[in-house]
Amino acid sequence: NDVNKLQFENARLRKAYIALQSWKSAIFSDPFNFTADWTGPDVCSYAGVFCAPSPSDPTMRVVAGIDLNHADIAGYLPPELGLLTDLALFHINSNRFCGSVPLTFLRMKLLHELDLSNNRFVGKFPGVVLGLPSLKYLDLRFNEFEGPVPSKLFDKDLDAIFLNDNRFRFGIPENLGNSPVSVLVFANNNLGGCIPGSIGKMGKTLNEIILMNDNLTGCLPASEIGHLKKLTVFDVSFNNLQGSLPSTIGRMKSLEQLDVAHNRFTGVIPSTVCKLPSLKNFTYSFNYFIGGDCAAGAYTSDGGNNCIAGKVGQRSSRECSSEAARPIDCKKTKCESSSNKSGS
Amino acid sequence: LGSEASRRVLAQQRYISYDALRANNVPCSKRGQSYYNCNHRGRANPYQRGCSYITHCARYTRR
Repeated sequence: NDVNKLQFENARLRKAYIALQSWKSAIFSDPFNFTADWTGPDVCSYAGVFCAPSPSDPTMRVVAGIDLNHADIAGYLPPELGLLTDLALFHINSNRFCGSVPLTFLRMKLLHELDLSNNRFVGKFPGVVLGLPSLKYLDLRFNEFEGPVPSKLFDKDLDAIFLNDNRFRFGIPENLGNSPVSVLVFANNNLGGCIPGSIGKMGKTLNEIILMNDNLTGCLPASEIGHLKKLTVFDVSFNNLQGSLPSTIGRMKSLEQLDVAHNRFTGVIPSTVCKLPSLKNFTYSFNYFIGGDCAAGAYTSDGGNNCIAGKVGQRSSRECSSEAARPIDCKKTKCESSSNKSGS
Repeated sequence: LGSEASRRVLAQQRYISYDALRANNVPCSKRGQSYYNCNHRGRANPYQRGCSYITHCARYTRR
């Protein structure tokens, strides 16, 4: 299978052949025989490989996409993949690729979507993605990336960021609000720290945010979150957030899903929240709310395990008079900055 | 509600953020197609995109 003996439609497809054969050699297990037909010079007929006319020269076919979602392939990404300079999308959800993302991915100047989700990638946040000029969709969820999330990620012109179910730590960078994403999912990491006040700057673009189970502390940035007028999903459940629920949530007019359950919120649920016009689900169970329970609106709600008098399924009076149930003054609480948290 | 209308109502209740909490989920089940062009018929073209905000396009295009 000498590349020099094969005939190719054009030089780009010849390079693609070299890249794909290197990748095939870096595959240890392919239970569905996905790459069985990865032989010969017609790379455009390979399973999971998608060709299209080049945007710069429509007379030339090039490899524009790799889509191996759900192939269950075990292996790694060899540096030769950087020869696929025409790639617009790289989708490998639910495989068993391990190791890291090669630096040669920097040559993929047209890469628009990078989906590495549900694999076995490890190590620091793959900094190479920060150098991809066309990237809009970044999905790294369900891997074992660790350490800090670089603040530069939020200075990039991305549309979607999925980082959930990794091992990221050391807080959410303070420049979060610079990001123009429509969706951000950060759930199930061990970030710690507070929700940066800069989140208020995302009002023009942000539609959905999930910060569930991230070991977050402090109070919700009250005046800032009121600016999130386009937000439909706001989920901060399973953290250690404190203080009362700010009445400014009532200004998030597009909100459909609101989940603040499993935190340490206190006080009364503001009536402005109950009146949100598009609300479909409101979950506030497992906190220390003492009242303001909205009379059932058009939405479903779960407010069990609080301290609301006269409502069924509440915490015991011992729990409700404990230290954890005591209101705190959010003006007096200082959020640890993410830089000095790394040692704790 | 007609069946088409109720289907659309159901589709609107999906959120790409909550879908992301399930490891196997992807926004578009049509192999080779951009996640931003999932409702496109015919051959997949990775360079073709129908929408700019995944929260808008994904809500109407999945499956």
